[in-house]
Amino acid sequence: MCIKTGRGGSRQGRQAKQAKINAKLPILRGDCGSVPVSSESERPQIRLDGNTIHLAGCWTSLTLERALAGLPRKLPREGVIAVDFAELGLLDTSGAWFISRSLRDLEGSGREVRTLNVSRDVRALLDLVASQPDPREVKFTTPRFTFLQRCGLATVQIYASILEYLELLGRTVSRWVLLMGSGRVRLPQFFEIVEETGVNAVPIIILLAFLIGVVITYQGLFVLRTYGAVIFAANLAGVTILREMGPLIVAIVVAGRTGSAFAAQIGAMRAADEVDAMVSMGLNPLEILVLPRVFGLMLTLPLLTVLADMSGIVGAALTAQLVAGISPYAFLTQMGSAIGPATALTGLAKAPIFAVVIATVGCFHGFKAESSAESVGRRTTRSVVQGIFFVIVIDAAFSVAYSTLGL
Amino acid sequence: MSTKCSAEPVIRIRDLVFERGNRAIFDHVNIDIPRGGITAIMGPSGTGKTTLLRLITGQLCPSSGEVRVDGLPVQALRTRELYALRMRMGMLFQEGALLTDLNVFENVAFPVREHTDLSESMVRNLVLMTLQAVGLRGAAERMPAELSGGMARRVALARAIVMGPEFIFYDEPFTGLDPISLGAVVRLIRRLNHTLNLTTVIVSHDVGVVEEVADCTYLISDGQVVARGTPEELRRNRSEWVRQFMDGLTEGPVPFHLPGTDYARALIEERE
Repeated sequence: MCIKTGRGGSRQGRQAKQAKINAKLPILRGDCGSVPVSSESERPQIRLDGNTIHLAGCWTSLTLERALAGLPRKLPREGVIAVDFAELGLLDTSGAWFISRSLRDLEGSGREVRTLNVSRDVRALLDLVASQPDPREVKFTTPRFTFLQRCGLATVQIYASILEYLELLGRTVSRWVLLMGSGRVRLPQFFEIVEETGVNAVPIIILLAFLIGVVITYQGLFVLRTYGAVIFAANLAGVTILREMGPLIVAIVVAGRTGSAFAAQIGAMRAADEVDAMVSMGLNPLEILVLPRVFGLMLTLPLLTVLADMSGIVGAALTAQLVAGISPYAFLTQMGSAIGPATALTGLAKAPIFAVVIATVGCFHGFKAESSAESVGRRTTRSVVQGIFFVIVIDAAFSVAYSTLGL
Repeated sequence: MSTKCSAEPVIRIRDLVFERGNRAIFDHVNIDIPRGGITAIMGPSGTGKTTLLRLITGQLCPSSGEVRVDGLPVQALRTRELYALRMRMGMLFQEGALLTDLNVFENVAFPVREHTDLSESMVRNLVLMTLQAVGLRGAAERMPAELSGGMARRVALARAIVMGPEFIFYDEPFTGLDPISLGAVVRLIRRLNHTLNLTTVIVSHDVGVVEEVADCTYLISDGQVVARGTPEELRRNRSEWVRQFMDGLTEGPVPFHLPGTDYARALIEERE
């Protein structure tokens, strides 16, 4: 917005022409519009005359930068300050704001200010600018929640997603029960899942369980040596590996390897509308996508746990031989006297439960993914974190249950 | 043409209200889709055209109102009946939505194997015949990743018709196709509609192509049916909104600027 004030004294002839042009052109053109400003007279000018400040020249966004530097520092110390607009050339909102701001600052510091020779147009522009909030006082604040609000928000979100997860779990189980009678099993998919989640995981499981066996026995021997009871490292290793570490390490590795894969596979299918396409073909995605994964993992997880148990015990026996000179025969005999089939079974019993949780959490996050690669990635990460979280929570629950039952 | 548009409706949508959050996507919408015709649902992006297809196939439930397909109230059906109804429907998604880990042949065979106990040789014949119909028998061994956009859509079309549906729904079938693929898809839609006596519903905003292919067009905006008729009737429609949409004008009843607060105020005002 730019108003030609038309009172420029010696410039009146030119300004009359300019006024005609400006009446047609909403955008500032002509002698005030050239960048850089060519002539001295086009600059905003401030002249101090006694207690009167004379404003002259062009006060527009294009010329204003110089005015900021040229503002007289010395203002009359006392008395009323008068601002004379008589010689003002052009004015736009930037100039108006600059003037209005300066006047407001002067008034703010306790000086009385009067304005002289203000035309109706200039007054309208000054009023318009003054009616807006002072940008210097605007504080940009992003909405911030208090700690309590964030806790509440997170609680509600977690509650909602637990309900959704339980819905998926319930639908999966009910579908499973329905299908038990019909005998329809998707063998190809089932075996594919078994190979992918079971067979391909064998090397990493064997290696990790072996190392866990080594670590547990090594630590045990260290402490038991003080009491001269090194042989009891066999009891320690046997119980720890069979009851806790075997199933747990398998579940954690599988949650990281397979839970994430499930989430990514189903998430990618969702992103490409493949899941919707299945529904539109009259097929149930739960039956096609979730059930084979749950069944497959329920078979492979216990098998992997058996492998992990054996590999862990081999690691333990080897460590006992190398560190404490206990022969594997003595070690295993001692272990056999301390543990029975029940110990191994209490550990193995957890594996199918872990399998259901890992598979359904992975599938759940896959289904929750939206149609973007970023969302699929985020869901994949979450499936791993939550899968491991639930595995550990359930393991703790098993420990409590076993000790209550006296197992 | 106009006879087809006013033919006996097989899909009836009555007083349909659908809300997402606080926003009404559909506000008491009535739509009749004639049997055996090609009906196009058109409207600006974000008017819920795809949502309408999901409501017809029973993947979503409306807040109120009714969708009847061949006399069956879709939302009131039991799961088993709904799945039975869906088997009579074929649907083509925007990008084809082929199963990425199966090849073209297996993708088309997928619904057959899932729903029937046909022998392997019959499945093979059926799939090859369907692929021949869309002109892609030669691509049977390819994986979906090796197909162009137009080819993927034709394979998806083969998969949608392999079970011999009565209804077929196309979700934006014309977007992102080169002129040759576009021509092929348009011809296929027409030919399949005619030879298989399908009831076709196309959701699209491609005015030119729809005029060419549709018997009957609904224009939807802001949750309302703005206009309905044959392409001929829409061309003659003088309503400002219809003209803006059909002729692609920037200014008209649909503003370029989404209504908001005062521009200057929004720039300097403190954010609450």
